Amino acid sequence: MFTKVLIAEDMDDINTGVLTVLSKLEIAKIDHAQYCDDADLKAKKARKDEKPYELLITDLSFVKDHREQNLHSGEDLIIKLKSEQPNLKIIVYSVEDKLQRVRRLVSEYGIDAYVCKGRKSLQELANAIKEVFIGKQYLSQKIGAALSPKNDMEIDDYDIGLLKLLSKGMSQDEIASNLKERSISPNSLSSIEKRLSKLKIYFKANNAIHLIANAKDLGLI
Amino acid sequence: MKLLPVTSFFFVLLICITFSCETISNEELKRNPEIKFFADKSFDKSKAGDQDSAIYYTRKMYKVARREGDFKEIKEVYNKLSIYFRKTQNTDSVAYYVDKLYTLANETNDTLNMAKALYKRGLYYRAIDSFKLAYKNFIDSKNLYLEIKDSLRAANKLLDIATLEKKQGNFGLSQFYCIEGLKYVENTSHLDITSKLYFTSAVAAKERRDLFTAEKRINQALSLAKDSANKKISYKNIVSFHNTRANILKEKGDYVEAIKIYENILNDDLAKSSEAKKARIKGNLAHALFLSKGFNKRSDSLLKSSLYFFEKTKSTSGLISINMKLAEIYSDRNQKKALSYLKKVIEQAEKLDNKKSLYEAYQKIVKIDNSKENIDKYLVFEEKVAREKDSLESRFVNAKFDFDKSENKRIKAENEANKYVIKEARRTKQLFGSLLVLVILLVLIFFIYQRIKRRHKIEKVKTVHVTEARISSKVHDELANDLYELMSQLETSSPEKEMILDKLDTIYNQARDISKQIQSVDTDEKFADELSNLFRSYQSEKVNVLLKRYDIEIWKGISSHIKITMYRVLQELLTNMKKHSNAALVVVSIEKSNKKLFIQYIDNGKGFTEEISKNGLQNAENRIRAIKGKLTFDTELHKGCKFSINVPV
Repeated sequence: MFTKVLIAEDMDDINTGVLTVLSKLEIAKIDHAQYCDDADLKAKKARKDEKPYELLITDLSFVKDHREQNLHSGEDLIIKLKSEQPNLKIIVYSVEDKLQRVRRLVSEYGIDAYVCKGRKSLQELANAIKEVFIGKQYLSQKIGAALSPKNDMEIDDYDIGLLKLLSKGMSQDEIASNLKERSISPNSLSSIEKRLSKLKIYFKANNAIHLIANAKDLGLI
Repeated sequence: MKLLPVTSFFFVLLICITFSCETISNEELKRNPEIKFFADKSFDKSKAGDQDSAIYYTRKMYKVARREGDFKEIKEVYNKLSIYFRKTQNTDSVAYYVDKLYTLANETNDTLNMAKALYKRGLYYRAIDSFKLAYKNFIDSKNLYLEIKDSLRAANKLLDIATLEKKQGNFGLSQFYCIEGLKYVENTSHLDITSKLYFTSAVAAKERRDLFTAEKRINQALSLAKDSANKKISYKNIVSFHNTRANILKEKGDYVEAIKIYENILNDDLAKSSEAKKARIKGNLAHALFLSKGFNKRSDSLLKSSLYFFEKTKSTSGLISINMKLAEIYSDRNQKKALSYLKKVIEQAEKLDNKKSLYEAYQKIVKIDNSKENIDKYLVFEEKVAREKDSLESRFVNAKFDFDKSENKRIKAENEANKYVIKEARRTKQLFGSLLVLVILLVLIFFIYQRIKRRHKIEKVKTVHVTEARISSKVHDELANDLYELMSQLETSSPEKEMILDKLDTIYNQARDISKQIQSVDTDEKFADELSNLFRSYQSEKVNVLLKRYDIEIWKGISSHIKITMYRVLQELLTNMKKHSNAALVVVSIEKSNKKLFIQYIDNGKGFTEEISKNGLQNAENRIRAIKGKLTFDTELHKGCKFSINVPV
């Protein structure tokens, strides 16, 4: 398990929760900072002492107060620490659930896990730490879609055409030959089969009949 | 600073006005340098008295002008030559060049130079005692000057005409032309010409025995002389005025005053009067003395010294005048002497063909020596004078008729000019009026713009208030109510920890939803991403949000407020769906065609009743209406719902 962890979080209560999780995971050294600048300083000192932190758990938004800060947000902190200590593992622990933001943090800044605050999020955090430790990536279920391919839940005219043909009572073979006649591709049996099974997932259908029923309910065909 | 563009706009406007009003008048006369050189040279030479050189240079100037084909300069050359030749007394050449000038001016339609040439021709004829031709040319010249509205020069010509008429003894006509001349210059700043016209008129009136008019006129001349402290009227002329006044007084019988004036003039050292003038004044003084005291030594000696002077200078008119006076003072004392003086008068008067003097002389001779011969002569001249008087009268009538005609013309032209001036004034007025209207309009527009801006601001503030109210009611209805419920539950019973946590989680998510509904949206090229993220964020195990693939390029060129509205409306529909409908499938399609954005939302949830829709969809409807779009929906209980949004872009 990690031996040295830094927590950047301005809310004390949340800190307590995180600390509870970490202590359960038997982590030796846990430091926390309420300001990004402080976190940065601590990380610097640890590197100087040649005992650098192995993991950073940080929030994204920090409430502004009387103290003047150089680093205003968790994002600033992540960028800074990643540039100074590339092997540092980072888990973001935030209320933010905007997919775009998550995607940016993962792909551009290279964070290792993103945990959304919420009910049962502490459990998720514990899971995240474990996953990150064995070198895996972890995203909360809520924002799990962030990294899935973009066109995941898109349908197009081809799909609707397939559904129409299916609703006419055609078998997959008949559909394939129909498409061939009209020179619409893809028209191979396998690709039609693949597409239909995808549509079944999309339309939460157990079989072809269910699929047509749902599509009809929605007025798509 | 906000006023800056407005003020600068007005400034530019003002500059434009000033420039457009300022007609570019200073048309620089570009004179050929060679011509200019010769012109200046000849002018200097002439001024220095070297007329031959002046003529030489003018001829050189003529060559250049001819080569350049510059008619204007050629006319100038003719003009110059006529002047220089007059100075050298070469009258034939003067006549030649004046004719050339007139012909060229006539060919080039140059009225000014035509008038000038005619005047010069008049001067030429006057110099050779061809008075009738001189008179005709002066009159033509005057009329041309009037045509080009040069009233000062016209008045000058009229003075010349009047003087000419006076010299010929046509006093009525002389007076008449003076009055015409005065019409153009009276009450102007041209005091010299005005006073001369008064003077000539006074002399003419005196000769016609109209002493009242004569005195009035000479007094007018003298009052002008008094007024003109700036020596616009020469001292010589003033002396003449005084002399004439004295003559008039003498005729009136006010000898004392007349004598006083004569004496003053003679004693005035400043009056550097010519000897001829002095001789005349002496004659006048002598006559006045004689009339007041009868024969006296002073009169006699004065007259004799004048006579001596005129004999020496061979002045015919002087001799006539003095001899006549001598004859008068000797008429009672020494008839023989008187007779001999009268003979001299006749001798001189015959030279000038001065019928009036001849008539007067014979009248006096008859009184002394009434021989048949003298009586016959007297009758002949009486008839001649009478006939001349008749012809003068007819000429007077003609001239008057001509004058009336030209006067009518002039009045008409003046009216035209006045009309034009009034028209111009009206046009300027109109221009200023329209400018004023324009300026007022601009100011008005500015203020209206400001008001609209302010109203927009107010509306914006109102929108903010409405949004605030909405959020506040949401916080109250959704968060506060649920929290209160949980609180009261905790108070009355002791529920399980897990249940409390679940409830709190619901409340927490509600709070997050509210915050999400207000947070900002990217409206740049990432908008399509933002939108698909929105759909994805509602994606869960319970519900699949399907987006029909569309060309994300359609968002290009759609203004940001429409994008935001679309985002918010879809967000609201999805939130409603998640909260109330229990839908398992949602399909959203986005299309754009013919400048219309068409978005369709379909789910297979519970659907809703009319009542719910009224409350729940009010906000979405308002948003769509604000961007001039249309939201229609179609729902049936347990059969899902379908929203169509139509927005012009």
